[in-house]
Amino acid sequence: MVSPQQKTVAARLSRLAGGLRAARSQQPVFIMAVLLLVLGFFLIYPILLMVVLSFNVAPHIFLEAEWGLDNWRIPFEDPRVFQAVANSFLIWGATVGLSFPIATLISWVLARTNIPFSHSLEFLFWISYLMPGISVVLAWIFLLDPHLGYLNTLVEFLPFVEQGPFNIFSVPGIVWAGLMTNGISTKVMLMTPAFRNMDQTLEEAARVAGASTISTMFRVTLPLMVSPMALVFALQLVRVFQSFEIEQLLGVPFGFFVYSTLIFDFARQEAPQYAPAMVLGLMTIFIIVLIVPLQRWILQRRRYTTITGHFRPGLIDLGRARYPLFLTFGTLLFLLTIGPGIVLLAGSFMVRAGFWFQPLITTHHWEGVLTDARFLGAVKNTLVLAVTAAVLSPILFSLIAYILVRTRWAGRSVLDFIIWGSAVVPGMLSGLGLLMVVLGTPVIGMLYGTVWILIIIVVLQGNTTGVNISKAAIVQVGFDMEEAARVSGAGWLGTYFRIWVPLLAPTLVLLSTMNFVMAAGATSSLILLVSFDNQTLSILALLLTEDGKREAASIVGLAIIVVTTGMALIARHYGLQFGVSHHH
Amino acid sequence: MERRPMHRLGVLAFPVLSAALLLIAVACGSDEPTATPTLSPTATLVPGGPSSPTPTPDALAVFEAEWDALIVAAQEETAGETITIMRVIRGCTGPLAELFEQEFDISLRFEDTSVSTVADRVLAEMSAGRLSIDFSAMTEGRITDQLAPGGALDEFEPYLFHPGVIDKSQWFGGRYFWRDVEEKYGFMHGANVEEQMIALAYNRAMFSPADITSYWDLLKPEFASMIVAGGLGRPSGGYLDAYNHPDLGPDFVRQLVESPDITFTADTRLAVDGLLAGRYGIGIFLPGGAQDSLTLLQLISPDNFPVLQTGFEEEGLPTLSVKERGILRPSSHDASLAIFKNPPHPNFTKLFVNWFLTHEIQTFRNECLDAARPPQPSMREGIPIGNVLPAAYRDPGKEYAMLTGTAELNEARGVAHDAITAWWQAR
Repeated sequence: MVSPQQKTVAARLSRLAGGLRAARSQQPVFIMAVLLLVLGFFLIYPILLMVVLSFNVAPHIFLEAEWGLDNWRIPFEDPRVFQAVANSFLIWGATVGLSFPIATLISWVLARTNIPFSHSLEFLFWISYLMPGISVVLAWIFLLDPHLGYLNTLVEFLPFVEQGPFNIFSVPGIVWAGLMTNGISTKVMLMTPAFRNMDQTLEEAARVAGASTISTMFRVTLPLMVSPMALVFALQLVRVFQSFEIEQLLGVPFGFFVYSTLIFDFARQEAPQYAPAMVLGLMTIFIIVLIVPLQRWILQRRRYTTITGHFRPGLIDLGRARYPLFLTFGTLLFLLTIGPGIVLLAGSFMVRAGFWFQPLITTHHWEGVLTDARFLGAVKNTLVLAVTAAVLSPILFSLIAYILVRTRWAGRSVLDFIIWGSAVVPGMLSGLGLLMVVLGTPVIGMLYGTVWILIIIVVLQGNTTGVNISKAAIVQVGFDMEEAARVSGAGWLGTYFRIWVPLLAPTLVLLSTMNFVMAAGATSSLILLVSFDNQTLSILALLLTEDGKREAASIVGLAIIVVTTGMALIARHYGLQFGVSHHH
Repeated sequence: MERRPMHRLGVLAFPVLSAALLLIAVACGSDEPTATPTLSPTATLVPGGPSSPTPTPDALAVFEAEWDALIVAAQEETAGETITIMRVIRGCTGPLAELFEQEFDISLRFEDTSVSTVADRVLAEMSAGRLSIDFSAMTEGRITDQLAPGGALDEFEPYLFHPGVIDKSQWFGGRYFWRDVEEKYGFMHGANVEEQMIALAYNRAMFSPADITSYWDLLKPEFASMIVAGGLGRPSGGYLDAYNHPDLGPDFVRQLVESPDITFTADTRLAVDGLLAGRYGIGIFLPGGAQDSLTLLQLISPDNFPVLQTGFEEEGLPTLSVKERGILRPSSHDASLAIFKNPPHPNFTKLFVNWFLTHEIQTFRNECLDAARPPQPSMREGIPIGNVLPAAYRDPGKEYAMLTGTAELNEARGVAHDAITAWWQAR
C-alpha cells in the first residue's frame, strides 16, 4: 500500500518530470531567442541604427539630431552615383562571367576526375584563396604598372616597342586582378567539396545508359549541383556592391568608381559624409529581396540531396587529357600563388619596385618594417583574432545552419533574414554602426578599445557565407543517417557531434580556414574600432599602401601569407583526417 | 533643442533589442550620474599680455601659485589612471608625453591613430556620454564642418593662462592663428614655409628647370601632355592655396583642372613612378603627397633618381623655382590643436596645452621634429631652428603669403573648396 508520504514524493517527481518535459519542449524557444538577440544585436541593430541615422542631417550623425531627407537626396544629385552603379555591374559581370565557368570546370575536374595530384592542386587553390588580396594586387601592380611594371619593361626590350601594353589601372586590369586574387579560387573552394560529396551512382547510371563523360557532366553532375552553384552565385551577387580593395587600389587612381569605392569616398572625405554614405550602403539591402527567396526556394527542395546512407565516392577517368589539364592548372596556379609571391619578395628588396637603376637592392624596407613596433604587435593581434575566429565561427555557423535546415523551430525565417541582412552592409558602415552600438551599451561598452570587441566582430563576420555553406552541405545529406542516430537514442547534440561533424568535416575545415583568412585580412570593419595597441597586419598593410610604401606593404603582406598558409597547413593536416576520404 | 543621443532612437525602432538592452541595464544596475569634472579655480588672466611681456613680480607670484595649484589639481584628477593622448604633432608626441610624465608625474599613454579616426571616436564617445580623450591634433575640415558646428569643441583660448603663452607678441604676426572661421577652436601652433604652394618635381633627363619660372608656365600647351598631377577629384591642398594666392587665383586653378591634356591621378605613387620612368616630365603634387617618396629616393641614391623636388633638394643640384611668393602652410594633420567639449580631465588639459605652448617646450618641439618629413616649426617667435630644415623655416626678412589662419582666410578657403569641387565634377 502506498503511504501518503510516498504519494507526495510521487506527485513531486511527477511534477518535476513534467517540468523537465516542459523545459525540454521550451529548449528550442530559448536557443532561438538567444540566437536572435545576440545576432540581432551585433548584426541587425547597427543596420537599423544606420537607417535611423540616415535621416539625421546634422553636421555629424553622432551629435544633436536634425531630421530631414537631404541625405537621401544628395547621392542622387551626385553625377557619379549612377555611373558607379553601372561600373559595379560592369566589373562584376566581367569577373563572374569569366571566373564562374572556369571555377566550375576546375572544381569538377579536381573533385570528380583522376587528374594527377588533385589534392595538391586543390591545396594550391586554397593557398591562392589565402593570399591576402591587397598583397596580390600589389604584386600585379609591380608586374603590370604602366610605367615601371616588370612585364611592360620586358616587352619594351622587343624591337619597335616603345611602351609596354599593359596597364593594371584600367577596367581590364581590375577584372584581371579580380580573377587573380580570389575570383576563381573562392568559387573553387566553395564548389569542390560539394562536387566531391556527390553520389557516383547517378553518374554511373548515366554512363551505363550510354552517356559520355562530358554529357554526364552537363546532364547529371551539373543539375545535381544547382544548389551549391546557385548559392555561390547568390553570394557573388551580394558582392556586386561589396568588393572593395581591388577597385580602390586600381580604379580610384584613374577616377573610376564603383558603388563601394564611392561609398568609401563619401566616408573618407576630410569632413566625412557618413549619412549619404549610409544611404548608399542601405540601398544595397534591396538586393536581399531578390536573393533570399530564391535561395530558400532552392534549398528547400529535397531532391538535391546527394549523399545518402549508401554514399560511395568515385572518380572519372580523364584518359589522355589528364596531363594537359594538369599543366594548364599548374600554370594557372603559378599565376595565382607562387608568381605573385616571388614578385612581392623581389619587390620588397628593391629600392623602388620596377626601377632598374643602381642601387637596385636594399634592405631598407625590411629594416623599416621589422623595427616598427607596430609590426610585432600587429602579428600578435592578428594571430589572436584569426585563431579565435577559426575555432568559434565554424561551430556557430554550422549549428545555425542545422537549425535553419533541419528544424521547424519558430523564428527560423527571422534568423535567416538576420544572416542575409548583415551581408549587404559594407564593412566600413557596419564598423561605424558597431562603434555606436558598443559605445552606447553599458556592458558591451566595457569592451571598447580591447581586443575582445574585435574578436566578436571577426567571429561574426562572414556569417552569411559560413551559414549558407553549412546549409548547402547539410541539405545534401539524406535524413536517413540522422534518423538512424535518433532511433538509436542519440540526443540533439550527440547527433550533431557523432553524425554531422564527421560528415561536415571538409566543410568545417573550409569554414575555419575562411574565417581565419577573413579575420587576418579584415580592414574596413575593424578600422574604427582599433587603436594603436590592437592594430592588425591588414590594417598596417593598408596604412602603408595608402602612404605609397608598396615595398613595405608587400613585406606585411608576405607576413600575412606566412600566417594564413600556416593555418592552411594545420587545417589540412588535422581537419580532413576525420572527414569523408577521397579514394583514388 | 534637447540633445538626444541617436542610438536611443535606434533602440525605439527595434523593440526586441530594446527589451534586451533593458534586461542588460537592469542586470547591471542603473548608472549613477557622474559628476562633471570642473576646472580648478583660476585667477583672472595673469600679467604678460602684449603690452607687458615681462610679468611683474606680483603677477609672477600669482601665476606660480596658480600653476602649482593646477599641477596638483591635474595630478589628483588623473590619479591612478593612465591618460590616453592622441597625436599632438607627428613624430614628437611620444617624446612630448615622456617629457610631460617626467615633469608632472602624470602617466600618459600615446595612441598614434589617424586624426580622422580620433574625430569619429570622440563624436561617438560624446554621443554615448563617455568621452575619454581630452584634446588632439585636428584637421581644418573636421573642425569647420563637423566638430565646431556640432558643439563638440571647447573654445581654446580660455584654457591659456601661462604668461609666456598669452603674450601674443611672442607669436608670429603678434597674434594667434586659427583653423576655423570663428577663430575659437583650432589653435594653429605650427606652419612650414613652402616656397612652392603646389609642389613640383621634374625628370632631369626630360626637362630643364629653366623652362619654368612661374606656375603660369604650366598652362602652356607645349607642357600639358608632359604633366602628371596628383589630387584627382580632390579640392584640397595646393589647389585651395593656389585659388586664394594673390599671384595666382581662381582662374589659374580652373584652367589647370579643366586642361584635357594633363594626366591627373589620385595615386601619388603612380605619378612619381611616371616621372621616374620618363613617361612624364613634370609632376604636380599636393603638399606632402610625394614628399616622403621623393625624399626617400634622394636619401638612398641622390645621384641616380632623375627626379628632384625643390624646397628639400640636395644642395648643389639644379632646382626648379617659381617667382610666385612662398606661403606659410600649416599641415592639415599636425599643426592645429583642438580641445573637445567638456574634456574628462580639464585640469590636465589646461596644464598640457599651456606647457606645450611655452618657449621651452616649443624649442623641444623644433628639436625633435623629423627632418625627413615636412616639418611644422613653431609659430612662436624666437624659437631656435632645431631639427627643422632651413628651407622650411621662416626667414624674418622675407614676405610670405598667409592663406589660412584668420576668419577671412578660412572663409575664403570654403569658397575655394566649393568652386574646385564643382570643376572636378564637371571634368
